[in-house]
Amino acid sequence: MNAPRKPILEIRGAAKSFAGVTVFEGVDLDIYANEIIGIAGENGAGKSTTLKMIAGIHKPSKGTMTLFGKPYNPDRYTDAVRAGVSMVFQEQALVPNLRVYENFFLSHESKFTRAGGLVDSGRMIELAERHLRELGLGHVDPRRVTGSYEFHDRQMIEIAKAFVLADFFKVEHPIVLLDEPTAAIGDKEVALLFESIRRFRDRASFVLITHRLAEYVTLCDRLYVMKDGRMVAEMGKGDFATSRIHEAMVGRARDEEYYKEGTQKAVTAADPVLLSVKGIAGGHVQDVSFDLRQGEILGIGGLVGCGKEEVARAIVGFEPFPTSGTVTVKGQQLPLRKRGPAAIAASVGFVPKERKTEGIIPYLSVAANTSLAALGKVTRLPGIISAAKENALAREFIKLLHVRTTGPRQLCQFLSGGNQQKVVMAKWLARGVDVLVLDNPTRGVDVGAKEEIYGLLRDLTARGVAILLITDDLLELIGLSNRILIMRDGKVVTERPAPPEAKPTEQELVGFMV
Amino acid sequence: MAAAGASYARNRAMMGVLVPVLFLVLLVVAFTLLNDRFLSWVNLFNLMRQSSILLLVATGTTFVILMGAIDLSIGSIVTLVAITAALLLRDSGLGAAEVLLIGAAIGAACGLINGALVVYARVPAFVATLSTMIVFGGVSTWVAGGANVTFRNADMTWLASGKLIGQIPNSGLWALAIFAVAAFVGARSIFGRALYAIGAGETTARLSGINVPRTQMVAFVVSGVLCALAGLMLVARTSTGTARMGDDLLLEAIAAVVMGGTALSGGAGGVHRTILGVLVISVLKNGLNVAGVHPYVQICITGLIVIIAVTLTLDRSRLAFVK
Repeated sequence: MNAPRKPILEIRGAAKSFAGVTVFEGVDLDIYANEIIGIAGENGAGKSTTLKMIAGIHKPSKGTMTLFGKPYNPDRYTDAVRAGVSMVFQEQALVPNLRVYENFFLSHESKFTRAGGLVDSGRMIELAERHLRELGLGHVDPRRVTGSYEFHDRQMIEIAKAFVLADFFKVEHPIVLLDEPTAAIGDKEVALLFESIRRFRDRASFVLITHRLAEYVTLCDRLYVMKDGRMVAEMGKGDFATSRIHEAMVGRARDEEYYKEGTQKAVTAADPVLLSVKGIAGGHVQDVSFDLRQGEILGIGGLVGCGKEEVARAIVGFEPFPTSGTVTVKGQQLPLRKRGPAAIAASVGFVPKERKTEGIIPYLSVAANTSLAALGKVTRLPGIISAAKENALAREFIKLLHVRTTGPRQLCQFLSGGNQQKVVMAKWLARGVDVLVLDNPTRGVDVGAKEEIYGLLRDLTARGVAILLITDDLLELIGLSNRILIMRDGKVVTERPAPPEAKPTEQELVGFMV
Repeated sequence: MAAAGASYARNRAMMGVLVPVLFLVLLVVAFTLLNDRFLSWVNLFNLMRQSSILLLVATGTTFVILMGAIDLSIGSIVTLVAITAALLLRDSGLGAAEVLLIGAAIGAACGLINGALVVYARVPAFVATLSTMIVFGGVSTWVAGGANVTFRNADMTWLASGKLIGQIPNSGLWALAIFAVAAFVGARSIFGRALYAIGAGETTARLSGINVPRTQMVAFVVSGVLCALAGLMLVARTSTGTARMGDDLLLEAIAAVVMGGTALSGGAGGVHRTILGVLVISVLKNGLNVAGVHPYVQICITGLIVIIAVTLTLDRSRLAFVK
């Protein structure tokens, strides 16, 4: 190959923490000219934050970045763009009701003023047209409204924007950051996108993040793998295969004690089925069916966007949800209309993913949050809440779940994430549930509270509660579940038993996820 | 951090009560110095009569604001009910009792329309009630033909200005009684709790089994009915229905609610606190009158003081959520 080249972007010892929580540290990364690199890793490994640091959206807490031989310290995204770094956002960052050329030069209009402070749109259009032609996107009319183009064309427009602005700011070789560009498009569009990226490579470098490992293999020249906020591997074109990538991504030791695997309840076909799901479909979810038995923890794993969350929404009636198929709780089929209240009436509890907006009400007290689903139990006269009964109920659960709070009247917003999550659990336990649906129950919860929550889930199963666990955390999925379903692209691709003595490994499951 | 946060919340709550109370004391002292008749029994009963209508309207609208919505049609409902009642009493030969029922029903219907627009047609409350404000206002001018409607009815006059207990004006008595019930419902009932829950976290409330649409409907209907009662009191006191007679109540009621410490974003404050804001505004208007300030200047001063009071009492930590 060429003589020893110098990287155009060098990152050394970068670290980032938010409010004391480290997202990544000790990250070294090089980007060479005309190169497509990938950053792989599990959810929460720190790859998206790394990308945002390069794009100037997050400032590194430690470490240095050097771009084209000069120190690179962008304060905001615009600085990055001026220096030649652009990002194609997961949710597209084009304004749909503006014209294509207006999107290209959005927030840079001041460079196009003519006499009287008016915007010289003629020059903008001319420039836009020339670049689109050079990039082989001659079919895109810069005067057309951006929203009238298909998703794929809009993505091309976003990439073109990177080139237009780089040229405009006199950067010869831009760096384009792609954050899950294929998350929302079909196979045909993916092929088109990749073809274009390869074509543009002689003029730019690309950094790719994607959930589909195969895409790294097809597209990238070099690959970095992150795990738990650290760079754990760097692979050249020759040595990566999907199996090797996910081996590097996962492979942690699981502490059986932590997940209370010893107390996992043995569930047999003799135990009654409490929740039965048949043929759930809708959106991109296809034909998901399973039974959940008394005392069982059934885990559903899969990458973000595989459809596992939609399944949970369909069960508890959290709109919008896939509307085909049936959900039966203790023999009673839940209706399609008003399924939410019906599920609650059938003793189904739901611990949602977004704790602060879906689980608790931060501005209400611990007591008010605890009684929220069981207001009928704390009344003295019909319809009138008894403060004494409500406080007593809250105290009972504060004690039972070890909620660290100053008392029932403390506002929930002042509790830590783990204690807020315990209040969400308390809300359902106060009502009394037979089926509990959990969506990432330990997301943003500290290690100690996690263990307490795991202990609580085991206690619940011992009392006959059936638990459906949906989680992005593989170790949690394996450690807690009696049985595991893995979903991919809206379908259940495998079902694995997970008894304490024969738990599947992360590698085995990841193989089905990607 | 948790402890500091808790004490901050406590301070905030203390401030919320203390500032309007201090403001009220300040106003009373100032007006007494300006004119010693201000603290006379005659004037205090007068103040009670004047504040009763605002108290009813503000109490009703607190329910709506608590759940994070807004009802801009309250002033128009007052006018509509007042004028319709005046017309019925003048022309139809119906008695005071029937007119009271019809008036309350009109208020309830207005509330139902607002609620249906917000809950079922999913029009944002601001836009929905801004539109119904215009419609209700238009209807009231239309039915009265744009003219003042004067009637004579001894029962109605007694209802507002009669004295059931001692020298206390009846309108004040009714308003206080209704306020007391509303404050209790707001603070202690499941319905009241649902309002707070919806205002502070609608998705969580829904996922926890709170019947959000029904609660929203009821809140708008309560607001409509209390506005109707206010309109009936208003027209009973003056025996004349005039176009736009309730319009000023919109801003005054919202200002009173905010001064009382209920967040415009919903979920914080309470019906019981609204009386503080009502007192501040009523004392101000009454005091300026007693002090002999020119009526037009009064309007300016009232507006300015409302701005100052709201600036002092508004909880900015929650402003980001204002809908």
